[in-house]
Amino acid sequence: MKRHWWKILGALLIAYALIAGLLIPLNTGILDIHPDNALLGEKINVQINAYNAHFDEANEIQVWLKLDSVHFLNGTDIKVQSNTEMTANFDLPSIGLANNRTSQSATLIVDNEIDGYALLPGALQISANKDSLALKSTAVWSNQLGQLHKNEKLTFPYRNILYETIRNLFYHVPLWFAMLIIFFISMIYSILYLRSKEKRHDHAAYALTQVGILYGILGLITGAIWAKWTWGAWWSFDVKQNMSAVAMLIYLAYMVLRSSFEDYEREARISSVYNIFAFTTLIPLLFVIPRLYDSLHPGNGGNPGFGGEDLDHTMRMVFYPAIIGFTLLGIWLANLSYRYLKLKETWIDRD
Amino acid sequence: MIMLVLFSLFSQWVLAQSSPSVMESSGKIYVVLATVIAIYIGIIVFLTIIEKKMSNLERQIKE
Amino acid sequence: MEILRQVRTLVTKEFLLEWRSKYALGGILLYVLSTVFIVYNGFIRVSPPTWNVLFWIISLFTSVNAVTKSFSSENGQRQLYYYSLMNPTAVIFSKVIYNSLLLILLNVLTYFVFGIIAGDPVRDKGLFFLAIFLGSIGMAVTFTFISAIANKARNASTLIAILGFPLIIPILVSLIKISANALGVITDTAVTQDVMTLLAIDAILLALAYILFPFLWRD
Repeated sequence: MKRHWWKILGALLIAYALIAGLLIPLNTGILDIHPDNALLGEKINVQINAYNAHFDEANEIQVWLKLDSVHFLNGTDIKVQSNTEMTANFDLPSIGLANNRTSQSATLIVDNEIDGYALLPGALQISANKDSLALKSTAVWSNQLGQLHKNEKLTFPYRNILYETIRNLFYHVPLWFAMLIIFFISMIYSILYLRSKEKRHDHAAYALTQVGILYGILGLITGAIWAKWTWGAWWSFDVKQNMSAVAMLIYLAYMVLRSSFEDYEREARISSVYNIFAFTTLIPLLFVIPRLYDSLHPGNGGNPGFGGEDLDHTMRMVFYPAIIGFTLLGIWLANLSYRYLKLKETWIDRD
Repeated sequence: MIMLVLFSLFSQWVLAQSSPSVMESSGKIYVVLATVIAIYIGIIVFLTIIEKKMSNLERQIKE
Repeated sequence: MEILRQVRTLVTKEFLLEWRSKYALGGILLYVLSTVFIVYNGFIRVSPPTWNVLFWIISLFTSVNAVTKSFSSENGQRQLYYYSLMNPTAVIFSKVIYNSLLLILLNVLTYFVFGIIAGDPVRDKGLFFLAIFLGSIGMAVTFTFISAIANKARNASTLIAILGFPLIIPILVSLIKISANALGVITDTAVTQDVMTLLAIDAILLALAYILFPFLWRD
């Protein structure tokens, strides 16, 4: 039992990532509003569609429009139709757009005591033109927001387009991290082999590379599935997609190299050399290529990333254990392959 | 390796057949399901490959 | 000092061999000419961004062709002879130096031929030649090392492409970026940083080749 603790840990961490990652609900979000454009000074009735909300059960529902940090507008006559649907009236003032702009987008804020508050940036496009000049409204912007509720429950952040697929962060991204860790350990074993010339080190390096390739291919497949329903195409030539594809080419070449020797000692020695060389070139691949492409395509085609504020505390609690879990599972798989290679070796060398 | 490639092509084919409305429904939760299943199948395929090699070796040892 | 002397001897030997069998060098020169001509016939009008990418693709294939033979052309007995005589460090350094010089020559030549046939959109000549210089060294190190690896295995020529192309991608991407700056296709203030990165990649590859080559050589 003592020797197997890490396998149990790996299995438990993956189980945790599956259970917590799938069961924790998403935060409340606003899907869309209708209409999504209006004239200054207009009275509008807005239909609001929300996700994971509890409007029926809530008592203190508030709706706000936020033009900028000092222009807020409270919605009136809120009519709840269902848990996720309601309408509200907005009485837009005649003035308020910044510096003679003819059009400006406003953020919609929905708040209640059960779900906390939710935002939809750019929800309503407000325009000023000659039609809007004819509308004389007595309404005024308020310069501050009312008291908002904060959701204290455990939730994952809500993102438009992504919706529930934000959970893929726990299953797709750890594959990539675990792959890098596994390739790194494999390189260490290759160095050990070159120093010691002990076959078991080469077997370990080989087995780990096999698992690294498995994770890489799974990473590409899961990434393609995720991309299809968020970015709209299986393969959109995103930097990270290209990088992982190149990493796969490098290591598939390692497999080809291993199969083109007759003599085992030579195979082990030369593929160890290649393994070290390959992992080292992987480093510029990881750090150079993204920087180059970012400077060529600022904003990176508007694809959602998970840096900084996007990776919130709740997600970290599942994400990091998932990385450790997938790494340990990978080492377990590699261990099986390693033991097979060792057995085969003793069988071939038996006499 | 060939099995893995075939599996990836097959899974994409299957997903392409399923109507987009299913994958888009319920906040795209089925995309997560597809991801988890893909990883699961990948690991099973890997284990099957090792298992097969193991059986071959066992047969050789018996003979 | 002994190593330096050996490196010098070996580089001289490479040049002598190349000079004696003029058909090899001539073949590569002809290869450059015909590739450029084919590309030009395919595209006819080449815009600067396309020019940039095409130039480096041609350069990549020229490099593979030129460097591939650095180990395969030496037969077993001659290798054994070197092995008994020379330090492996001297062997790899001499090959890398020779191949770098050869590639710089070929790339400059490609540039002139391409410039005559398809026009010369390069604005910042200094930066472009710096890119050729650093790129040639990077490609020379990578392909020399890969051909040393592949030469130990069966079907070496296929292996060189399989092993080498993915590994060359970081170098190729930064080269295209730097020379896009030289062509004025994009303007980027961080171009010094890109040059430094390329320099760092070259240095890392060279260090790796130096450390790992003795393990390949010992046979």
